[in-house]
Amino acid sequence: MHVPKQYYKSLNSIIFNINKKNTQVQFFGKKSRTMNKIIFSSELELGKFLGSTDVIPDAYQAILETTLPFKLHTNRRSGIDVLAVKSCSHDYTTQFLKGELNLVPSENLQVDFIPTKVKSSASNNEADSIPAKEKSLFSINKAVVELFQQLSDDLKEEEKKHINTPLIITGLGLGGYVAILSAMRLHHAIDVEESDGSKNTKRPICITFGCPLVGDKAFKSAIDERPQWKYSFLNVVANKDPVATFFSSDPYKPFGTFLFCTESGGYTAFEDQDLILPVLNAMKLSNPDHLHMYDYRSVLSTFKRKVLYRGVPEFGELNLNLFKAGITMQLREVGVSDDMNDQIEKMEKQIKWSKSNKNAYEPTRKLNEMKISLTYMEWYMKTRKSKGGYYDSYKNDETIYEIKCQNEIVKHQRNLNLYWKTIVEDKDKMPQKEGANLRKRWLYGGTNYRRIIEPLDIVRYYHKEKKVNYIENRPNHYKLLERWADEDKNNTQNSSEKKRDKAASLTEDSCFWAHVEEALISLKDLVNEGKNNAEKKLEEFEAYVMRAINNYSVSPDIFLEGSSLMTWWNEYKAYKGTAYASEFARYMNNASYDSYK
Amino acid sequence: MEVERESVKLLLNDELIKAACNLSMKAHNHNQDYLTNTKKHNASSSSSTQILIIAFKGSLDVDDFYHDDHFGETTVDCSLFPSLRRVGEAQLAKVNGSILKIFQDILNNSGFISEVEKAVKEDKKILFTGHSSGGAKASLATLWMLDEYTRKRKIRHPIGCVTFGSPLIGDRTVSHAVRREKWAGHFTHFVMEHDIVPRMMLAPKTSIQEHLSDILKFFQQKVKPNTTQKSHKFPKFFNKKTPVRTIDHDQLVDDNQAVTFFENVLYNASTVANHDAFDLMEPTNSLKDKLSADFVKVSPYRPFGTYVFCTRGDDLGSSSPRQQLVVENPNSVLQLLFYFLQLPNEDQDLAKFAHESLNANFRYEEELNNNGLQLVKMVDLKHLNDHLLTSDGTTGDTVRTSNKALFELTASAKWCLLAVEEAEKRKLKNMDQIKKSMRKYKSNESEYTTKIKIIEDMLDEMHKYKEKARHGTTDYYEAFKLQDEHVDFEANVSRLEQAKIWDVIVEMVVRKDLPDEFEVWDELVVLATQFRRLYEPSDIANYYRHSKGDDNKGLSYLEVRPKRYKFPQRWYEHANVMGFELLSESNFVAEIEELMIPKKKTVEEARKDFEDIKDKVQMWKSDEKIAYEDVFWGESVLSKLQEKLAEA
Repeated sequence: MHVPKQYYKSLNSIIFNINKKNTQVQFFGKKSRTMNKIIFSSELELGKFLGSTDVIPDAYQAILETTLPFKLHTNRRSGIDVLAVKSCSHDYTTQFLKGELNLVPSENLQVDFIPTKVKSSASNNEADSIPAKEKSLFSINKAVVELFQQLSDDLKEEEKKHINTPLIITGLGLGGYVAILSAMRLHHAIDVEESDGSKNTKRPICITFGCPLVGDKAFKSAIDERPQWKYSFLNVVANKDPVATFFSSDPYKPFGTFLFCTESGGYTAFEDQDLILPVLNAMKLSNPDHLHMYDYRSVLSTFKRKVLYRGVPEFGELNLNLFKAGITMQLREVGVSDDMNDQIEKMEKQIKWSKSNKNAYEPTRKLNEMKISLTYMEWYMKTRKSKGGYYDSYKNDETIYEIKCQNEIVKHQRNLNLYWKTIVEDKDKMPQKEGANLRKRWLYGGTNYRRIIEPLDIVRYYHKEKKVNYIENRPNHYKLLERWADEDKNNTQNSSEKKRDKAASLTEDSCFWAHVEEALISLKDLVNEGKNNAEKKLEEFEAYVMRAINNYSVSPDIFLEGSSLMTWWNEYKAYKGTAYASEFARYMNNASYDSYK
Repeated sequence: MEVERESVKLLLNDELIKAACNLSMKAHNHNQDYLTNTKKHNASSSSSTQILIIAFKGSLDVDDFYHDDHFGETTVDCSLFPSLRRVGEAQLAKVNGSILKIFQDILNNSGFISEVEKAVKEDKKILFTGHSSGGAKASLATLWMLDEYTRKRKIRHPIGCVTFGSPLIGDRTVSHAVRREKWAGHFTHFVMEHDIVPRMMLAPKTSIQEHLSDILKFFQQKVKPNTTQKSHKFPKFFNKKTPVRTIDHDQLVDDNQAVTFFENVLYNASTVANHDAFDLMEPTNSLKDKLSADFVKVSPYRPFGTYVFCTRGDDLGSSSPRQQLVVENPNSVLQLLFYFLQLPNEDQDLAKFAHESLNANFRYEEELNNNGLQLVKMVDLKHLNDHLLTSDGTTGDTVRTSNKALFELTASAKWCLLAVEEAEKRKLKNMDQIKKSMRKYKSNESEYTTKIKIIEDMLDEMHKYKEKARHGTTDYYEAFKLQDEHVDFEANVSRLEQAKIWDVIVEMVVRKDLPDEFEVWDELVVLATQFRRLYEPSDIANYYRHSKGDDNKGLSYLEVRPKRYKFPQRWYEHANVMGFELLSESNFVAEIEELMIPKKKTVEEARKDFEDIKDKVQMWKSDEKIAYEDVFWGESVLSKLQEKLAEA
């Protein structure tokens, strides 16, 4: 087969990978032009945006007006619902500030709505194939659980009403713990709703005031992996608030957005998690050990004043590095001195790196690239019919010509595998229900990929790597793709769905050829060593193929002259003798497959 | 200011602007919707012509600004303003509903159209103008005329628009369309540094309604000549040495009202400015998007056209010379609208400042009489950012003294102006990358020689494939569908290679990552049209080849038509001032395929549709703008359908 030159690749590197080139230059040559690219810290603007609106003061007002453990308010001006949790008792806060409440592992907690990487669906045995070490549990502060459990059931009723209407959930101090868990549970309920196809859902926003850090790194990453959750948490923290700054180091990790503020009217937003901890710590150190609840009223009342007046006109000595100037401006706003140069530099590097690597258009480009690779595969399949089908052609790459075009095909095979492995891994991290919703869109492509490419992986497995028992060692992403496709089929199957009356163009069971390979091995065992279980296996295989034929679920290509199946059959027939007359044998002897279409 | 395209700008001069301002103020006191005045243009030069000034009267009722509780925006009538939309997405712009309504009434009821028509016939240049909401109407009139005369009727008639303290009336789509059509130079909006009116529409009605009607009454009083003085010429307080002290606070607006109104407008202006500045900085955090989707009301209005900010720094009362700052980029204008309104420092008297911001709306005449349009003092913001950054060096100092007002802005304001410039650079860079993928440009040839495959080359190959098939037994459409030969496979790969580029281009348009004028860029439209005509049949063939299989949900190709063909078709239609069509010369084959599917339509319906398509094909064939050899004329499919219909 003549395969066109790969000129297109270079084209793409010109059009779309220019940024990547720059990254390299940036890493090796300090004076590259990209270094001059101005990077802005958008958090400054986020802080100003938050300060100019009424959302935060309105939420705090709702907390002040709450006397019951929690209450749903409807804001008179904006009409937005605010679910406010009353701040918790003084005694309990004192107990907390004495450090009597520690992290507890999530295993025995009733917080199953917080997604983790653990597969919860016990019904599916295949899930056990994920090694135990990948199961990550998180830890959260004991107070979170204790406080939430008291209100859990009542809050649930309010949450349910707000799946399709916007809601702000808010809480002060340790009350923030309750608000956060309640918001997470509502997010989870919305995930479920969306996976059922609902498009009217509205995500809640959780605004806490002086809420201490909640949990550890695993807890943070459980949230970070869900973009819909991640950016809906806002914690307003005053520099003098002892509760908010109580935890300021490992193992606690912050998540979401923080709005730091001071009584002198400064405030700024932080999103970068590496900078939040040091800021919290700096604030903690400057605070005397007062055991008191902080009142945010005076801080909030100064918020809007900042909008009215112009600030400093100069960037100061940092004119030349705007990013650094921006962060320094932010830190000054909240009264934290400038001894964080190391963090800022680290952060700048990270942001520069991620910005130059982030190509928003990569997914679109990649999708078409995969379509191209699949087109190559389809063409390969089509032209290999005369050579016993693409499976056996790939297996027997004897001529130089064959080797040459196989190299081309291997390249596409590798690209496709890489692409789908990453995608499947990403989607698998999503919680069961939420992920299911996202999957549907590309599952068709995934199934196509699996049916075309997996046979080639099977060839490699048996003939290049000389191994046996493919089915038991099948790559995980194929397993997942197949399982999701089955689940999807079960979900959408109508009773009226028509049965297939034509042969499939692609064999449905992507492991079909692994079965054939096993049958070839069994046959060898039987002929050479007369193993009994081999005979049984072969009978099972016969039945398996026959079933597939009756269901029209295999491609007619399996019967092509010179295919592994035909090779096996000829040897098997020779062993069994002409008198052998199983259903499959009759089918084959009559050459009924000639009319299988 | 910009490269002239089809439209012709009206060159402004001091005298003209003064005349416009005087007429605008006068218009408030008359019953007619607008006043006219004819002036000599360029009286000194030999090519002197007459110019018709049309000044719209302002309307100052609450309902004239807000027709609902929020921002009172409404979708434009696309027959009146066909250009006010995003072309590719076919998304219509929104404008202030009340002002649109008033303008439409003027169009329908008064002799406005005939007046304009007459001026065009007599070869008089036209200048629309107005003060406050009169300026908003003048802007709409200008937009209407640019679409109706310049674009639709292709009359190159000089049109201009000058407004004084006009409120914002269009959303970001209007702003985008104005830049795309290169109309920005037609609009000159004068804005006093502290004038509240140009910022007013950034606030929702709910936030300012408490005192809005009183404040509008106060405005009304200021424009009506119910005092002995002719207020539109020299209001009395301008003659005093310390004018601010003599402002009649006590009459309609007290300190509390002025302050509350001022504060709420400023807060909301801040929300909008911060909202947009955040987006310019390539953010990752989506908290702001979530908030502005459901929880915070962010005004849809954005500036368009050229803004002239008349600034005087923090020296409120004195008659120190003002500076005029000319800014065209709508993002910069938005930031300046907010940051110029901030109080310079905490020592300022808020009540005094608030009153001043209300009165500033009536200072334009004085401003122009004292200072005029001082071209010497004009500063173009475009390249100012470079200077903003240098703290030392001589250039920095000259810029500093000549742009006092700008330098007195806060660091965060400068920060935002820099972000605007960076965003523009990013867009240009994207466009440049696309340019490089389109054609071979001489300057680049040495850099990327034989290795690169560009769109133009791929088009040539498809041409060859198409031509080759024509000499065989089947046409390229059928051949592509069969995918029997290696050339068919190559064509299929070529189809996807093109998709890879065009899908990204379209996505860039949707994400607004390209300059505003991208979609009307001639070279792009030409190439995209050629691509659409040559490649779309192959996508249709591919669609109907595959839908034999499992995934056919019964949708026709036209229902799932890729954006990479939809957008180019709209670009083409917009460039040729045509309506937006569903069926075109590049996709009618899909309709034939649909007619071939049994049961979808009765034989009679199919026959009728078949005839319709044949007529259209004839029409397209005779269209001289359509290159005959680019289009697949559907020979094979048409004859197949004909046979089928004959049998039925």
